[in-house]
Amino acid sequence: MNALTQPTALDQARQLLESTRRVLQKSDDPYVISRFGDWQIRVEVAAALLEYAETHPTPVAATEAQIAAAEALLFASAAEFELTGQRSALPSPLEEPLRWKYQLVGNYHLNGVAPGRTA
Amino acid sequence: MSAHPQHPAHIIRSDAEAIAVATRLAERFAVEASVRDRERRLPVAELDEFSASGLWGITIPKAYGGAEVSYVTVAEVIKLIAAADPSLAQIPQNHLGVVDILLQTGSEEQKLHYFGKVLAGYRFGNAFSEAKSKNAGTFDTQIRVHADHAQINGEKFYCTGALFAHIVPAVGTNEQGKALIAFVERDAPGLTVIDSWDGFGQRTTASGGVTLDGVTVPLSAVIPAHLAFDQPTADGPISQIIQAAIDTGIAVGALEQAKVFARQARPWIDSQQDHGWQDPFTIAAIGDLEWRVHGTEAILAKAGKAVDQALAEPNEDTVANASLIVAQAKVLSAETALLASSKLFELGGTRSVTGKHNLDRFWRNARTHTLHDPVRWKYHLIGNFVLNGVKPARHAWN
Repeated sequence: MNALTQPTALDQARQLLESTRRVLQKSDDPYVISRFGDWQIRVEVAAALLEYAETHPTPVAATEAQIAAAEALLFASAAEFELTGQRSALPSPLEEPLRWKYQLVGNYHLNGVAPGRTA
Repeated sequence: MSAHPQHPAHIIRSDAEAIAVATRLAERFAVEASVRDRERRLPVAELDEFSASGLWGITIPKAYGGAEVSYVTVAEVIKLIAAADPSLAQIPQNHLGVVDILLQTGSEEQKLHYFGKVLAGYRFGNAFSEAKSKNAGTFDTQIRVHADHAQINGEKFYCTGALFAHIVPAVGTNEQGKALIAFVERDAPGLTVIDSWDGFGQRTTASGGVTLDGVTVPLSAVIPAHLAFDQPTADGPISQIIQAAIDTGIAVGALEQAKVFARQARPWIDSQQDHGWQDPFTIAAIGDLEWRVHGTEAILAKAGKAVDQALAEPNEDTVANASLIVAQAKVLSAETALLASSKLFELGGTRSVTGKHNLDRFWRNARTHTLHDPVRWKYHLIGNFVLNGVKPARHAWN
């Protein structure tokens, strides 16, 4: 299992945002408020890329959406800890590592190399 | 500069035609974009070609003879032009905003008159911002409405497009402090446009100053612009989505160049590769830029749909939703343009900074244009809705 590159990553990023929001309820601290703005953008861009992969299909479009979701979840986990002092456990990232997703996307767009079927 | 276009404009009939025309123009504008930037050669002929293409009239409603294209299309058109030359893409920025303020606040006669002019190829400039007023939303310029005319006095700055406009819409306040817009003919006595813009980016937008010294216009040339924000309208999101589209275009253009130069780069000694494009860190860095640029484009398209909805059904909720999604596009486009235009050099290596390539124009343009309004407050705008349920304030920058 790898929480970052599972299809559930985006849902988890959303859930952490929602649970953190519930803990804080409201805030007039401008830095806390803007942190939520940043968080929301990261979730929205991952969701938009998932849809975009259907309308603008390339061999790596789904991988790009996966990266966006993984980055949203990494941000979510750090922001949850920063804002609440708690950290929800996520399955450890061992298989299908995120770092090689960037390589797949880059190799396609820079060098025209489409990922292999096992990639 | 004449108050009339030299040639009548083509009239674009559909979204698809708008994209096709923009794609063709962008290819032509790309050829000399670097030379224009380097020599600060103002794009006089290019601008005539741009407005004569019909692209400046695509948002005119069908009822007035325009194509009434989706704002998804408007954003795509501006992005395509900006990827080639962001200065050219910025020049119609306020023109398109003015078309919407007319739609929102003009009388039927004014819409017929000015929309007809836009379809005929007339370009609106702008005399909105002031360098000396308290903040971006306050104006020292006065518009005084008399029995049969209005008179305007004031001093403006950052007036993109005014130099090359046929009509210069000027914002000022009346005795009650309400913002009005007066449509001033480019050759009207008392209107002076100064080509004083010397910014290091967006060098050929001619965003200089305007002085209005006792300029008089007929009452038919004045619209109650403040109504566009007193009530919920799409005007703020429309202004902002064009900003975001320009910066998205800069990001797209910079990423294309990053790939060209990354492929030409020498392999780094420690990589033990034969070619720069085999460098595993270069490949991953391009991968990172690609998803960010595509994510920005995807959000920009979503923002266009939200603007369409706010135009079709203007109310507190649709306008707030459009502001929120356009703000996401604004943040992403600003950050991605700055990142791509800087990474371009990291991946291209020292040879990419050679003066003859003039690749710094991407960063200079990104840094300059993204200063229009600060993205730090867009995070706040979005977070304030997510966390506190507070809708965005309605003004021309949201």
